Amino acid sequence: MGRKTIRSANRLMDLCALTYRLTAIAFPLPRTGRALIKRVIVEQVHFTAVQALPVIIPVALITGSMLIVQFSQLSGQVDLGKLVVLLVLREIGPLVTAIIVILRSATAVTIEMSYMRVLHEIDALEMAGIDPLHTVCFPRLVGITTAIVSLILVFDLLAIIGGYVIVSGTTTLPVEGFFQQIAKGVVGADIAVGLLKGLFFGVTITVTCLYHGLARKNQITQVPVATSKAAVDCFFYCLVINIFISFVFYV
Amino acid sequence: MESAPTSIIDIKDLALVSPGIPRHDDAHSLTVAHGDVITVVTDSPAEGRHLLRILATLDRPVRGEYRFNGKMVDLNDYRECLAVKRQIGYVAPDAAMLSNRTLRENLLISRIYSENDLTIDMDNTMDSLCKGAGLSRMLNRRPSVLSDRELLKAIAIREMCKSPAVMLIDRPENFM
Repeated sequence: MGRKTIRSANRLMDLCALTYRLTAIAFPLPRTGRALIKRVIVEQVHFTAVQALPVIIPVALITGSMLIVQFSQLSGQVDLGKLVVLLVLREIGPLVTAIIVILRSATAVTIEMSYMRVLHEIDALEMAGIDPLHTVCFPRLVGITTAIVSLILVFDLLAIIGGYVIVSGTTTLPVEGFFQQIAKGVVGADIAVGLLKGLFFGVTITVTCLYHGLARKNQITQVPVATSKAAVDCFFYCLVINIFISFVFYV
Repeated sequence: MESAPTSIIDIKDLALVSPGIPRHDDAHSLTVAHGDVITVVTDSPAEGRHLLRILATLDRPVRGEYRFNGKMVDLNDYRECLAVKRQIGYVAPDAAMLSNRTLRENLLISRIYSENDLTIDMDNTMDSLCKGAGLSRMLNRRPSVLSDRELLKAIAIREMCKSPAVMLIDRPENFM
């Protein structure tokens, strides 16, 4: 085995260990610091979900309209509603949402953690007797995961309903019976798998960013390098998780 | 066998490797007891800072024993070190404040965490120290608006209000 392979395996094991440590905090949640943890969770959900809505909404409408326009050309040959649902709920919705969260929040969290490390703010927390895993990392895990699952729901709804409204309102393309086809085509598992992907994406993105952000750094020039690595890793891991879950449920 | 808890910090056979300084195998021992005032003088500022960070359990030595209140501390276990850190005041150029919290929240962070209350107010001691240092009007602002001197004073107030067992101060002449 080469040095790079060993390093990659080590990093994966570190990520798994960090995931375990962070999830273990919730069972049971420590009594001290709950107010602080809740506040950071709310701030994180606000930043990752609420402030991302102006980005997610147009992207969902454009994606939904685009898919409906393209597939309505094949009207009569394919079940339009079912096809859109298959693509949006199962694949495009979770993946596009993950990409937006990586671009907006993952990079921001990595930079924030890196600065906290370089400027000794993590040390300051520890000197106050506060565990940074409890007050910095765990709330971000909960916040980003909650936000990404919520954003997937918003994306799916807007892409399907908004896309339909835009196409039927602005074009003469044949999209009649769209919702009846959706009603027939969608099963609970489609929605559940999309949300499951969101859950895994949320955990993976957060842990990867925290890992790269909190890695020991001495100089501020190491921050952009860590951010770039975190974004690329997050994207790659999300693609792998996406295909893995799709294989487990649909193959 | 655990040593008798007469000393607060007791380090033995400590070997340091400071950044940029060649490794040497000199072993250091130091005991800090209640009421002691100790001055540490080193060949280079980096070495002195590194020793202070080890005393604050922020850095790990190459080898050596560290006892706090007579109990051996495993410096590789950061969770075990948290309880020690809470009892140590650390005022140095690398001591920081949380940039995304106000000065008031920074000063009260330890109490906010332990008392589970975001609305607690400063006690009389902290209030009078802030007034004395001219920081009262800055309490609801972020630490980034403070000058270096004000920041150092704020950090010193935060650390003093922890009622620490030991106060570690890098270059105390900066307070003159």
